[in-house]
Amino acid sequence: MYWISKLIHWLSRLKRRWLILLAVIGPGVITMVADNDAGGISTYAQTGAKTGFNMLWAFILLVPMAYFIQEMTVRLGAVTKRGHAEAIFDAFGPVWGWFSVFDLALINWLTLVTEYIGMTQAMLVFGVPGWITFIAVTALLMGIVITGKYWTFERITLFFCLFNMVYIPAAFWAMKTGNVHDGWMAVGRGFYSPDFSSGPSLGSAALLTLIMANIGTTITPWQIFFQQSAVVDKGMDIKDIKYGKIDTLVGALLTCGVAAFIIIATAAVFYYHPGGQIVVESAAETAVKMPEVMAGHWGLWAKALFAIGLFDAGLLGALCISLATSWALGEVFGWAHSLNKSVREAPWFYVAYLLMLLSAGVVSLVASTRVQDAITIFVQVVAVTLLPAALVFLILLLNDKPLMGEHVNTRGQNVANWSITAFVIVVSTAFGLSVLFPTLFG
Amino acid sequence: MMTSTPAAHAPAQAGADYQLLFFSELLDRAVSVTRAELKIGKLTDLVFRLAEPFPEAMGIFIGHGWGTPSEFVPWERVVRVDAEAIIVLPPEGGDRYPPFVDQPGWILLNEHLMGRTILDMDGRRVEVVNDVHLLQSHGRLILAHVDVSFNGFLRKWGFGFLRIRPDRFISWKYVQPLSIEDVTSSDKVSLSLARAQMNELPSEDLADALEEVSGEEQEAIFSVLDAEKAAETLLEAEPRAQRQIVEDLPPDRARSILSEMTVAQIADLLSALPWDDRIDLLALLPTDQAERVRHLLGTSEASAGSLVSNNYVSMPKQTTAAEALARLRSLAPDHDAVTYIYVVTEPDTVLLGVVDLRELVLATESTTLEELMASPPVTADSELGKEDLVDLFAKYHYRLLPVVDAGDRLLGVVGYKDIMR
Repeated sequence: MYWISKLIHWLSRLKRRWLILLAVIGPGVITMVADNDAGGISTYAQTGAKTGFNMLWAFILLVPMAYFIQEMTVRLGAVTKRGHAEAIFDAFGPVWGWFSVFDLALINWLTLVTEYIGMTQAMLVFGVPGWITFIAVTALLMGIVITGKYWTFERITLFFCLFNMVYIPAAFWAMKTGNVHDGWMAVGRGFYSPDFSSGPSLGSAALLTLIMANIGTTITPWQIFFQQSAVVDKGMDIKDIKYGKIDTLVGALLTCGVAAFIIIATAAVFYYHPGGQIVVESAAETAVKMPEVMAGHWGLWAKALFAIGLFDAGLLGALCISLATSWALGEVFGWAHSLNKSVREAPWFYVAYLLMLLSAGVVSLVASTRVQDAITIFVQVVAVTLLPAALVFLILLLNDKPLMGEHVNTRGQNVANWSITAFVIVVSTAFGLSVLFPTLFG
Repeated sequence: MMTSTPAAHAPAQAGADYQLLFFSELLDRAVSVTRAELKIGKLTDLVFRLAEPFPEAMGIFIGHGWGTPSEFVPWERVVRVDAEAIIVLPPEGGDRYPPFVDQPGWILLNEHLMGRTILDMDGRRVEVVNDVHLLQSHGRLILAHVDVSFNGFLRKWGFGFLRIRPDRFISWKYVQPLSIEDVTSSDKVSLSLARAQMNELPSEDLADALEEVSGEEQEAIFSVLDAEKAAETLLEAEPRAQRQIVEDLPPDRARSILSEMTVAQIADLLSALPWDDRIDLLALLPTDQAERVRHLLGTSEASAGSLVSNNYVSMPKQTTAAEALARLRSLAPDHDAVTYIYVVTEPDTVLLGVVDLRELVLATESTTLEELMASPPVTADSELGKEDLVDLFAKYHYRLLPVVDAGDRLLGVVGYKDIMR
């Protein structure tokens, strides 16, 4: 009988472990999934339609890249109990502090405009006018954060993260069209032996741009700020770092997995289309064209799934990006800045958040297509000026022994992080330049 | 009530011929020698000497802007305060008054008082000093009240005719700068109401107030609390305020505050602090306590055994009620956990039962604890996790639970507030 009580004890321990893990899941998953924002979905859809399965291998590399960068923010937040903006001010002084925060606010605001554009486009697929989407979305985004509890925000957001999975059934239905010769075998080959020779050709410049866009959308400055602030706001402590790492890893796998499924879905129906490749340039266009390429109600379902997915991506992106800015501004200006505070207790935090949503939403409604394109380009350019600084600052902070104690970067982590940083800086700079001067890599 | 009408607290010697003035009205008023036409400058500030019960004016500070030295007119030289100018006697010897030299115990109204925050202990709010109410009588000028109403603010900007709400004065009797040194050091001052009252406030209210004021004022308010109150307040404050307060805490003060906390409370506090501050505080603790705190910080599942406190009273079963009460009295006031008396065997401290203080007080003197005790007692196994403890507390509604090992030996007690967070 003794072993039965032992077993029950062991099981209850195990259950408690799981509950702790579930409770700790949050900042990492949210950051990573929100990273598949409206712009990200468009990038993946284009990648699938233009290169088929041949770019899937990149996502195996992107998992560790995203994980190693974001894992640093967990340690930094849990050890110092400070947000990223505050950490930069403390360590590098006001010049770099203001530079980072100003750049972050600017880039986030511009990105926010693109999220609103993505959401309105997604709802247009269902025939909902843009201004209704704008009002409803802004009200929803405000409702998610004003509960005065970080925990509530996190659970609601995790729920919205689930909708990111809609691309998985979409991919399965796309594969069922039978367009792809070898079916899932061809998908598998995309991960280890890409083949650009067969199928529709793509110029090397266009290919480079796509590769860079995929990396650029996976590692962004706001993610660093957001996850660290979320870790601090959640009150994670040094002992929670190990769970935070699991959280981040799960998030990295999710974001790259979902990205791969989006590529599979769009590749299967557009790139391998029996009547020849169909080019799509955005996620909304992908949704609209779905019924053309998939017979019967499957096509309509796929269209709905893509539109829902795009809307959800825009929503998560908008939520996290505005929060990242509000947190950073709060840290710098010394306002109370916590989701655990009510609107009365932290008025400026919520005012900043709402103002960003309103201004970005209005701009997205009134901006012409040309302005929207200009914004997209400008985001990339500003990102190029901020991302290298953000990554270098992050690694320098993580090597600060008096600040980090025993959680300072190990030699192995430094090797991984510096090489990822060098790679990302080169790639994102090249991407920024190619967006500014499209003929540069021709 | 701390707010009142101006006349109510006017000093007794005021008599009939007195004049009430607002500092905002005096500010920038012309200062003239003997006649209104002979203007020597504008009143830039008023200098007061802190005194009980009301500070008295020492003189007028006249600033002349860049490059020109200021002038200080001692209050004895002031003839009268007119609506258009303040008339003073000519300087003794020379044509200028000497520059202002600060002296200990002096405050400048504009510099040190206007716009500063005041912690209103009555309304438990932070208020801003918008104006200062002065009383002039028999050649003396006395600081009577500070005005925290919106009107003062309007007056300051020249919209005094808009009287939106009634004036709200706080008599200077109730206002105490946190320390004289703070007031006279030029960089900062914060005001608060009588510091003796501060320790009487519930720590929850103090924590709320601390969260509302800025860093230096936080430090100033916190510094007047006694160690026990400081510990309670610190534990009640939200993490950001905790970090700010601990950052500026001198080591000796930190040590005395920490000594008022249980191991579980210290671990709670430290878990909200940055790593470097945590190391500093751990270094202040006695080795065994530091070890237990470190252990608690390292585990996500604290067990009852690691949360126990030694702050409890145990007695053998044959003790009579009279003896027990006498022993309790001799323990107080250091011991505050006297709600329950744990009845144990001696010398191996096996827990037999628990006696409620209420039953003990009501019992006849010769009754033994054995007759009084509730037995078997509700206990927490030292292996129990935090969640199970929460369940136990929820079930029995006790504030303290005895923690026992497998042989029912009493290890200590765990408090409800140690596990709530």
